[in-house]
Amino acid sequence: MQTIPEYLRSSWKGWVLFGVGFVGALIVGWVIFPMVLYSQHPQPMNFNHALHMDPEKVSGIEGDSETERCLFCHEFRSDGTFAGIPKLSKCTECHEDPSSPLGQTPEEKEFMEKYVSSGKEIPWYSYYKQPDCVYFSHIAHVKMGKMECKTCHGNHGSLKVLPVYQQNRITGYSRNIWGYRISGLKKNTWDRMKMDDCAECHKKMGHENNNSCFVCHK
Amino acid sequence: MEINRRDFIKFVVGGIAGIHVTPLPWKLTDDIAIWTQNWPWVPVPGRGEFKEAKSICTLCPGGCGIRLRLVEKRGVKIESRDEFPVNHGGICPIGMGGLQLMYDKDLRFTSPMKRAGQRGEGIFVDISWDEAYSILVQRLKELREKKDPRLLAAVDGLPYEGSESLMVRRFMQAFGSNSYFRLPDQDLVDRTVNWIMHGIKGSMGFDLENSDYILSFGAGLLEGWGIPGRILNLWGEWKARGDGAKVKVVQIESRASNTASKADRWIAIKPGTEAALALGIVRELIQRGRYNVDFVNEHTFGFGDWVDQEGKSHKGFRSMVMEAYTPEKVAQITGIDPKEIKVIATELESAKAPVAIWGRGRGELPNGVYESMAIHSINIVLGRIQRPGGVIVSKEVLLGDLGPVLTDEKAKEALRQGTLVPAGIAEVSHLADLVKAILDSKEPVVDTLLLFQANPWITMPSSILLEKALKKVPFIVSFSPFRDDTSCYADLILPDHAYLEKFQEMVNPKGLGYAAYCISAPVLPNPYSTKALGDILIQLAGKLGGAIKESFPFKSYEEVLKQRTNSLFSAKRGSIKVQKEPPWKWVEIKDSGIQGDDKKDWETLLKSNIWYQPNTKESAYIVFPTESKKVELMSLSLKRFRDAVGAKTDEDLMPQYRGLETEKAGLLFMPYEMVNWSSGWAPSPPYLTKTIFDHILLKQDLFMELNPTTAKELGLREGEMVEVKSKLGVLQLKVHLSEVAMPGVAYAPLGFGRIGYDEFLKSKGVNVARILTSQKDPIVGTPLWWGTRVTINRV
Repeated sequence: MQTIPEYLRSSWKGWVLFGVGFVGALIVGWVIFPMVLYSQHPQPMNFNHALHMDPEKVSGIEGDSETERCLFCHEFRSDGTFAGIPKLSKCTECHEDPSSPLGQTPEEKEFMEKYVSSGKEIPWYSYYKQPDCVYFSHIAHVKMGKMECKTCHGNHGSLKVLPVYQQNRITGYSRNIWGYRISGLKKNTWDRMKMDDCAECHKKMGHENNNSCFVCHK
Repeated sequence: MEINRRDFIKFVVGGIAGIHVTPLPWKLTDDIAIWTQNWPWVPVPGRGEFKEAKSICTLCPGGCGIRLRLVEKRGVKIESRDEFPVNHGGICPIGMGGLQLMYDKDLRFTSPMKRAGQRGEGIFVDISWDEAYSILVQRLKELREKKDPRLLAAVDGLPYEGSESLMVRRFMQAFGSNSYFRLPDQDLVDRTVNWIMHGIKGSMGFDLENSDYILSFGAGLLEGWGIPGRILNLWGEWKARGDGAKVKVVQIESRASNTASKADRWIAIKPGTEAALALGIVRELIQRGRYNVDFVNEHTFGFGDWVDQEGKSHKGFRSMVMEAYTPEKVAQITGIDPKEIKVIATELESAKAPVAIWGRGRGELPNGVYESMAIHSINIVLGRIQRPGGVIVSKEVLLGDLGPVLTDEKAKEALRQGTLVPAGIAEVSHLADLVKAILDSKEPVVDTLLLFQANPWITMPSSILLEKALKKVPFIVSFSPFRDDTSCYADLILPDHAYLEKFQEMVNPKGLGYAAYCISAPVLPNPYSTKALGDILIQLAGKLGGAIKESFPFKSYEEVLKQRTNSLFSAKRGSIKVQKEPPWKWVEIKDSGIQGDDKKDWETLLKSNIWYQPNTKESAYIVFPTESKKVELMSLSLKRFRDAVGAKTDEDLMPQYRGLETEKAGLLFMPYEMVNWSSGWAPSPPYLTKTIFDHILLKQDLFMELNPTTAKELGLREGEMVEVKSKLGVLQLKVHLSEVAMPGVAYAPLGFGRIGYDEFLKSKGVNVARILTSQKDPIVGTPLWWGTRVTINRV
């Protein structure tokens, strides 16, 4: 039997290196990858949802339930389409006069100076924009399905600060659509908003026929 | 520490194993796929609030009601309108793709242009409106002062009864030119038939909404015949009715088109022999005595033998048909079993509201006048004129005229001299007359040619001759909004707005069964430097000055329309509001919406987009303004033009079958049309190229359909490239074997092989119209094209 040369012999060094490579890859994949994949964009100014949703602090926003209060600003138009993030005209329904702000916050002051006085629309980043190939009807879910906003959008309405908008550098979509739980393992319904998540809920609620292709991809 | 190769590999493997247990490879793959969906150069409609605008579509003479969805003043979708009487919810593929025609810059002339390449290359440079006007005005002034104003010729493809066409004719008259030419199309033929047989100068319509049996002689109901939006929708309605009320469609054509395939019965007839079959059917009805005797006796002239004022006896229609169209003779001509004639006659008898229609394919290429008369005579002997479900021959739209045309001495002098090109009968000449005159006459017959909404290069049979003629014309001006094929031969472009950017109107939409006038204001802003055609004519007239300027005392095209519609309002007929009862119910209008205030009525009209007058019981009692005051089965009008039409005998004044003289050798070569491809003046929306099957067009090659038995005889195989040669020219086509084709006949689709437009439409396939040989229709001289014989050789 020939002896195996030293330089070809398997050694414990190899397995250590295996471990190093393995752990390094885990770090790259779980820590570095998400950091690098998403770009950070703070919203142009802060909006305090918690404040506006509290009927004791703010009286103008009507609605008996939480969902109704959300719908006051994120409203349905008369033809049933969803207006999404409200335009400046919604804010100025109450904050109409730049010289008499309704509160004492510096954010409101900035809002009045920068936007209300010039009539410029606030360039909000939208957290939940879906691809153009998807037809999603808010009214079917909110009015017909009687769903609450927070079922899909989480506790967004109770936040004092608007989260930083994180955008996937490759796809251009918001991190809210997939990436916060990058493993894809969901704890809440709002952790991911891709096609399978919609399909999963349809199945659970007994509307499996809504998973046909043409329902959403018209 | 020394690391050998094995250790290094273990490190790499460790990394790879580790990476798979992280989200990285899975998320990255998914993200890259999504990245490909969002490339910035893929066009996507803008997001935002939708606005809706109502309009009509005038890409064909249909005038279908459409709804436009807009986001921030940009159209994003065209849909049909359910409530609009003309199309009641239907729309055709070309109409749906209309936005592509608006926004594709490569399809349009975006500003006035001057030719920079050779004729036919379509290379132009932008110039300003001032320069464009000054070039044209200078040339026209010179023409008037130094040469003959009749050397200005206009080829007008605009709908004849429309205001734009009226203004073109007005301009020509004020200028002093009678060189006005229509396109030699089916519309011209049908108007001639209406005039010859009923004495009416106008278009005919079919009350198909009420028919229960449709005998179609080649009319491509599913190929885009009539108003495609209306017919496609109607077909669905016909088939949806309950078993007792189902409408039966019998399609008579040589090829198994979509219409033939979906009809209740398909009768494969030898191409070009439809008139013989029609008269054979009439003979059968007469022989059985099962025709509408009352109608024929009271309202027709020339049915029985008659004696004229000089005591001379004349053979009537009945005698002629009984002699000449026996079942045996018809079978010999058409190839159809005589039993079939009996079956059709029985079906016609028992139907409550039968109608015979004609117009090969889309009904744009002209039929012969005699053959249209022959098919229509079925309607006449059955008394289906001005009846529900039948043919409507009188559709009056009482739009006002624009006042007298002022002509100066020069114009009067020129017009007194007659036409440079021999005029046709019924005073309308067409492009085939002009082409012949240009090619044959030694003296110049045209100096400057104006093209209005006409693209004959692509559809005029024997268009290779048109090309030769265009090359001889010294100066060509096109007003087309689109970079069409014929405009590639122009020297100067003064571009019109595209349809949704200007006031549109459609007088008597093609083949509609009641009088209607569709109109809409512009719904899209114009992003380019084009002008509405009506405004261009007014400005041009203004710059020419004198009597021409005075003949156009209008500030804008909108003013012209307002002026014309005022007469419509004051006539107090019809309705400018869409009534609850659809117009084909033959009920009186209760509330017309006409208030008698021109301003208010104009606004109401622009909101509803339509004026219409449904037929009523009274419609059956019209006086036919012919010489005999009846429907003429033997035409006294033709008698007046005996020499011009070469009518020597009495038979020559009656509907008849006249075969085309073709060579004995070679295959018959027939073009066909498709509902999802334009062969008219409007371009196909390029996205429709995706709907063309690979056995029709594959990359750049166009296919010709041959029956497998014919192909076997010629030794040709599927997919082979062949040379198809007619007397006029050669084309290269690929062979497609299909049972759809009649043995002995080759078919190829129209509308391909374009030289204009953009990369998606250009050079795909070949233009079949080029090699079609044509003979002159004996009555109007339109090109009769179904006798082309070709030889086929392998390449």
